[in-house]
Amino acid sequence: MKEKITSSVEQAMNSVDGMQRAQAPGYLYAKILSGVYRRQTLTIWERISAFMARPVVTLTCIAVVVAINALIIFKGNAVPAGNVIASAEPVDFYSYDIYNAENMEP
Amino acid sequence: MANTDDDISRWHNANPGVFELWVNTWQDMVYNTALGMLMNETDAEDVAQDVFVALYRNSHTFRGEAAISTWLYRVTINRCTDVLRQRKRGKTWWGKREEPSAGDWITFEHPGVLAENKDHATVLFNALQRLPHHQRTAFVLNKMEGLRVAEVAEIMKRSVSGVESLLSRANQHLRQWLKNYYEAQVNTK
Repeated sequence: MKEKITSSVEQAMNSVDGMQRAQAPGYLYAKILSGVYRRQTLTIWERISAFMARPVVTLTCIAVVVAINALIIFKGNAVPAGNVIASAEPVDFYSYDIYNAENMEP
Repeated sequence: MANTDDDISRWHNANPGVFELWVNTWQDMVYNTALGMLMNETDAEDVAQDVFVALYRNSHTFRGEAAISTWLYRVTINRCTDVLRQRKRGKTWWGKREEPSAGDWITFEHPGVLAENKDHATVLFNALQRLPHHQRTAFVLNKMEGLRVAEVAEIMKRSVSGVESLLSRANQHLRQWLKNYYEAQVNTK
């Protein structure tokens, strides 16, 4: 039994020895030329969309948008310490004159 | 060198028939390598088309035919890597792919294998598709393309000892998988 398995393994391992190269189909050259022609006749929009459709480009764009959003959020939250103390005082909203804020008494 | 359409057209107009000669010279080499890597005729044709379109666009940059064959092997391997990666993902955003994934049983028959070896070769190809990528590449180039270890090393940009190590591990993995497969076959009878 063991000899049979060993023999089968050896036969499988040697099965590609002396093999011939597979021949490309006869229409391959025509197919290549069609690929060359298609590449040459791509419009600018087709080239742009093909470029944008690449996963690397898409993921990079998403990463940039997320990074910009994160930057804006964190910058917006980082309030200077002086402002925090000032805002701790209660504000009388009814006496606040939006049109004359500069002349308000402290 | 800038790869503009003008440069490309100028080179092809100045060298009529050269590209066709190159395709005739190397199409079997590229197709056979892609077929060994992908084990699927349609995918191998598509890869060969991509590789030669890339060659067409880079024809004016080559100096000497030895450089072209090495370059063609590298581009073929890279394109095959892309296809294998797509298969591994299994699905695309528009739905499930029909191609087999790495674990599926394939019934691929290489046209260059001798008739009496076909059954065993099919089992070997199933073992081969389970190898890690670099081991598979080294095995295909060495065994199926018949390249010497030094040539494989140049194509894969590795040392000769590195490729020897890859081939040794590939043989070890293949033998182990084949042993398990044939043992399971005997036990089920």
